[in-house]
Amino acid sequence: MGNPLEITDLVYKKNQKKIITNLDLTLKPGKIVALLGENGAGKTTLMRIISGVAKNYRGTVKVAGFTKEADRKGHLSFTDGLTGFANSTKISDIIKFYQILYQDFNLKQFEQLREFMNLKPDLRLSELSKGMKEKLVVALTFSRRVDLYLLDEPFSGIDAMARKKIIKSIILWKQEKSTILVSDHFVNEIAAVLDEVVIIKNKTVCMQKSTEAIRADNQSVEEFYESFYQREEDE
Amino acid sequence: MAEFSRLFNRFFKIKTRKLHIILFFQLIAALACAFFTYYEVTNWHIRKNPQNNVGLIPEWTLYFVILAFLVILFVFILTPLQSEKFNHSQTWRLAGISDSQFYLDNVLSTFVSFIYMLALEVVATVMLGFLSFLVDKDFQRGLHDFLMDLHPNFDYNVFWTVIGTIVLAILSCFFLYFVISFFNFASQSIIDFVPANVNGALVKILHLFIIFVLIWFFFKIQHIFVYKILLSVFNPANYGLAYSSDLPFAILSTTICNLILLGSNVFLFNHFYEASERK
Repeated sequence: MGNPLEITDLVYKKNQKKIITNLDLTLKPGKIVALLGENGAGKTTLMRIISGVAKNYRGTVKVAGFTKEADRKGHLSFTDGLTGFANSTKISDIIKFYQILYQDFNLKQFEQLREFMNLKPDLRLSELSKGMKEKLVVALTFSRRVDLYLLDEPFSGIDAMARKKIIKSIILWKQEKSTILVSDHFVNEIAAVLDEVVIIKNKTVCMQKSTEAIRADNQSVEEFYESFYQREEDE
Repeated sequence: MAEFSRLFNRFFKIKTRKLHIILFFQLIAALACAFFTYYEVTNWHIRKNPQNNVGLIPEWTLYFVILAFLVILFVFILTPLQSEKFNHSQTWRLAGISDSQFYLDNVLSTFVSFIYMLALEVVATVMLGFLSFLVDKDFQRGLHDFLMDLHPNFDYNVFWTVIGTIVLAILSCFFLYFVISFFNFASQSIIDFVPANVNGALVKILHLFIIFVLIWFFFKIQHIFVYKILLSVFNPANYGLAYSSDLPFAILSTTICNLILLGSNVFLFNHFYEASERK
């Protein structure tokens, strides 16, 4: 098995607008990596390309050494917004869907996560608040046994308690060799659990640094991220 | 292959879930129609309609069969549109299967769910017919007379025509699915090349315009392809064949059109048609 993620020379254009240009990114096994950048920087698009649902890109994307989209999808778990389900769908039906579609879905682990997140299986999607839905999405994502987890802004629009629960679940349920790429524009929420920081700016990865190195410079991850933007503005 | 059959089963279950409800409403609607034909309501009194000489249950069967044509047409159009939603859904497209297999799964499950609906209609009609036979003497006599008048005369030509017609109906079914997908994939792929600064409302109008242009262009090309190219190559007269039936040619041309459309759809689906996060 290769690295959980290897991207070389990625270019993606949509509606005559370049969204990603010449992007290279390699993630090592067992890391928790933050994908940081402003709104519209291309974080979600990058995750959609990695998971094979965004098309018409150039470059190479390898997940666990696999380049074919079907193989890539089999080796990663992406926080999907569950928009493919009707609002009347029960959590129990979504579990069934995951069990059938993903052979690596671990029901026992999901049940533990569901209890940890206080989610009742008989609830319908329409009955879930934004925070509860986000918790469900994270629980479903982590219930699969894969090499790469892609968490796309799992903390957007949810309260502090739910955020804490999700971060706790990341720490508790992360497998030793799997890698987590979590995108956000607020760093302070996840700073404590991070191993690496990747910053997307000007349509490409402009910085990849370990949190160890950042802290060695007597900076917190948040300060580093803010100073990075400050430096750019000053220039 | 295991992923293919698992996804197929999931698609089939979801696509057939509403069919049972549709069948139930069809039964109720047919019963209501039969009731108001068999009885008449005057001054809040219900009495048997003197002008009606058919029993309530055979009437129910008759209305059920009439409604079946409308329901089958409705399902025939509804199911491919529903399958396009799955093609566009990120939740579904994340399944660990290649895009080509996903598309085939979706199309095949749509077809099988349509056949399932036809089977349900046949079973329900037979059951209602059997019920009419049990309770209605006139229906028994009518059926008996009908069967007595029937003189089955096995004719190979008729047999092959029936088989050919069934094959053509199946191919036409797939043709509809492929054409709907083609217009959807092609128009959306073209829209993805429209500059981002164009107004959203204008993009929607443009999308509709592209679909109309594609429809016009598609049928123009298909006409030329079928009547100018295929007919000149596969004309039975060219090969000294005497039969004048259009059925084999129709089957052949629909098969070729389907294969071309399937190839185009798989290509567009693999390389251009993105899944959306939105519903």
